[in-house]
Amino acid sequence: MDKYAEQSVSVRLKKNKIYLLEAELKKNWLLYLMFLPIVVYYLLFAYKPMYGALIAFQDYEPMKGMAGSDWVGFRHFIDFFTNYYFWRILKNTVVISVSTIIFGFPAPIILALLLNEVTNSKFKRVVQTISYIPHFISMVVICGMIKVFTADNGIIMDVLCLFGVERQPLLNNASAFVPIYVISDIWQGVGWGTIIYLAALTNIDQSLYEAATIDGANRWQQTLHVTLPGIEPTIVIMLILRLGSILGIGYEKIILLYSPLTYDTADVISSFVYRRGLQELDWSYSTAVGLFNSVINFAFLILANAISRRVSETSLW
Amino acid sequence: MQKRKRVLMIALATVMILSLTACSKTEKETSSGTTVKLTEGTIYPLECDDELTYWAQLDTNLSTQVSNFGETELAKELEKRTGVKITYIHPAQGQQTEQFNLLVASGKLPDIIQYSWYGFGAQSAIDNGYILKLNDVLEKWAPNLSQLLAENDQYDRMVKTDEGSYYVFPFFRGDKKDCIYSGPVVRKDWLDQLGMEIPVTIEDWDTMLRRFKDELNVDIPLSARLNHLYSMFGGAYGVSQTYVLNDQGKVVYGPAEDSFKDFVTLLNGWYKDGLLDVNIANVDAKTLETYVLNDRLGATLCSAAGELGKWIKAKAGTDFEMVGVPYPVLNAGERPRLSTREWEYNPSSSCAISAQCKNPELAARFLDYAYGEEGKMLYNFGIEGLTYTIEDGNPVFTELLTKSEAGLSIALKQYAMGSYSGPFVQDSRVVEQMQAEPPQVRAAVLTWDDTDAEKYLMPLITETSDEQKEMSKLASELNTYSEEMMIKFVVGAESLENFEEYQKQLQDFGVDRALEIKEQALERYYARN
Repeated sequence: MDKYAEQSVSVRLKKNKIYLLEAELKKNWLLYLMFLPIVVYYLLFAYKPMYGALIAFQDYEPMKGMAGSDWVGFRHFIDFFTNYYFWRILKNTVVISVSTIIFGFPAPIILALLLNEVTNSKFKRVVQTISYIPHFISMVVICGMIKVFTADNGIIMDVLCLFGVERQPLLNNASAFVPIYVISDIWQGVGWGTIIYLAALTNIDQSLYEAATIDGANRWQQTLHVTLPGIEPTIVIMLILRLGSILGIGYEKIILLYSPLTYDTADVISSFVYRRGLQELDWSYSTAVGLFNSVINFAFLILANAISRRVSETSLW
Repeated sequence: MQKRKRVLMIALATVMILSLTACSKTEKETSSGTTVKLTEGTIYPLECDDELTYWAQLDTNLSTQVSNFGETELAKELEKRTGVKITYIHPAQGQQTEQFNLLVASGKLPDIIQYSWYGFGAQSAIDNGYILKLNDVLEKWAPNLSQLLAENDQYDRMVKTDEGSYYVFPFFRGDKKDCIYSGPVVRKDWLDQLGMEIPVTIEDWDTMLRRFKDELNVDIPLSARLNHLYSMFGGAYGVSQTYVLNDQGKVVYGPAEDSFKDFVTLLNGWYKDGLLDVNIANVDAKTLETYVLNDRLGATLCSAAGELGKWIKAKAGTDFEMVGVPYPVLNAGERPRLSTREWEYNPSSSCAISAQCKNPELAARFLDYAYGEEGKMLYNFGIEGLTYTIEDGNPVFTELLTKSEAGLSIALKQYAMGSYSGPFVQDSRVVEQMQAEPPQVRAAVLTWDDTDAEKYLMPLITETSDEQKEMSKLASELNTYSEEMMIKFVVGAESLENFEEYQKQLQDFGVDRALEIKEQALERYYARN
């Protein structure tokens, strides 16, 4: 008896759900219509190309197509993993990436908090504009500037000389590469990075500040107990996303700054692939490395999300 | 709940986790074009309704004057004379390789493609259906080029694969002297000041650099782009950055040779003594120019008209005097072995006809025009009466070009390809006139040309597809490692005591196997007929 009752209930529920969905669609069809292009975009440009990743397991020849190219199994992956430089480029990629996260990630948050405290709106706007500028300068120019600054007669060397450092072209020094990369990265991105946090800051209920003031909280305490918790979800989401591209150090800046002298610390997966893949038209090999990258990144994303969901209740899904 | 929603919004706005390249195969078009009608007696202009597409890098200087090659006077004249309508397609400046890569991956090719098919792998490009095997095409529709190749064995051997397939309408340099356009230069005025002769041996160089530093307080006695350091001093030790032939005509990998140690030891000594630029790892053209124009640099390696000529002009009216000097040798009386010489056939400026071309006859006849008498003159010198006149049987450029503000070689680019490159035979009389002013330039080229480089330079061998695959893996490790270690040895980041270990590592990477492949390919090259 009970069994049948349960079944009929569940059937009814299912029907109910479909009915609800129909009603929802009818009611908000305009919204869904607006949403449709986005869905199509992702299907077309993010999901459909995944099928192309299969060429990582082939000796791909465009003229033969995927159907005609030979399958080689994991050969390209094995090639990559057994490469003499595999561990070095993996290590460098992770070191640069993690340093950028540790030092570069908090920077825009701190700047946003500082800007938030500024009451003179004119000053605030000037600071914002100036800090945005590097973001709009082409990477080639930025790297040209970095080269000039770090040359043996550059301004940075002038300053370091005061502290007794020997005069030398800093970019020739393998141990200086990561700091140069990370610091210039902060310089380039800090202003632009504040935008999302400043937006989040405006969403914080002003009455919370009033309440805190009444309770006798000073500026610092307000920041700590009202502002930061207010933008915490944004911070966490940005961090999860950032962790999702942990192996995604782009090659442009690297190849503009490195030289064989600094390969030890500067050669990363993408610059390696650039040298090997782009210059020698090795599609399958590049795809294999790209796929490996994506898998690792994806794993980090999942992991970060899971940890975050447990610890802070904020998560992507 | 609200928190969740906001989170979702941010997430949706920013998520772009997986982005993998799309590769889709497009169908080949196979419809054949209309036939070309030939006028009785003469071939050109051709009568045909088909139009062709032509993919090529636009010359850097030209790109500041026109946005498309079709706008140049040369293209208009070519269309008038050959009767063939061409649509030119150019990759963005500086992105030739990337865009060629995309072009090939798209599976849809234009009719004519100017790119280094030699570097891509000519035979596999034919076998895999990218470009046409031109043997029949040349025989039927390209009488001028066929004749040229029949008359010149050396040219003929360079432009085909081991299997004997022709694959391009090639760019040839007309004379041996035109194959070299860069070499070592020194400050002659400083040499005179010290009462010194032009340096010939490595020892001369050592003395010169030291005296520059000690007596004249020269800031940077020696600097050069890193790859040029190999060309400058490697020859004395019989090594280069990659593969060369040794005295016995066998292939060797420069960085793996025992004498490579002497080469890096020399540079390391100079670096330690402050004779070699401290920035040596990061020198580019711009750096060099700044050094030279500020009188900071004593010696370097530079190009003829593009750099040496430009610098001399820029410093006119000062004491500045820079001259081309011979490639250094180890012992007096020896002849320099290597230089920056290239082969007469330049693959990257040569044109292949794509396998998808609807009317190969039209494309072949259009390209063949360049190798005929009329075409040669047009491609090299431009339009008679306008850009050149014949004096004593030799073409001489008119004032339209010689008096132009941009200078002869740049002004000529509107009317002809003589001052750069393309699918034609470059006439050495163009090169001579380009290098005429200032006179030091031509003198430098003649000095640099005086080497045995032809004997040691690696011929334009081709590897089979399988060899190519194996080489690309070997090369990626060998080249990265040797370049890295070379500069480390030079600046002292790696002790020279570790040279044997370095050689051992190259062995482990399989340098012997690489040499074996090269040697086999070389044998096949010599066996070509």
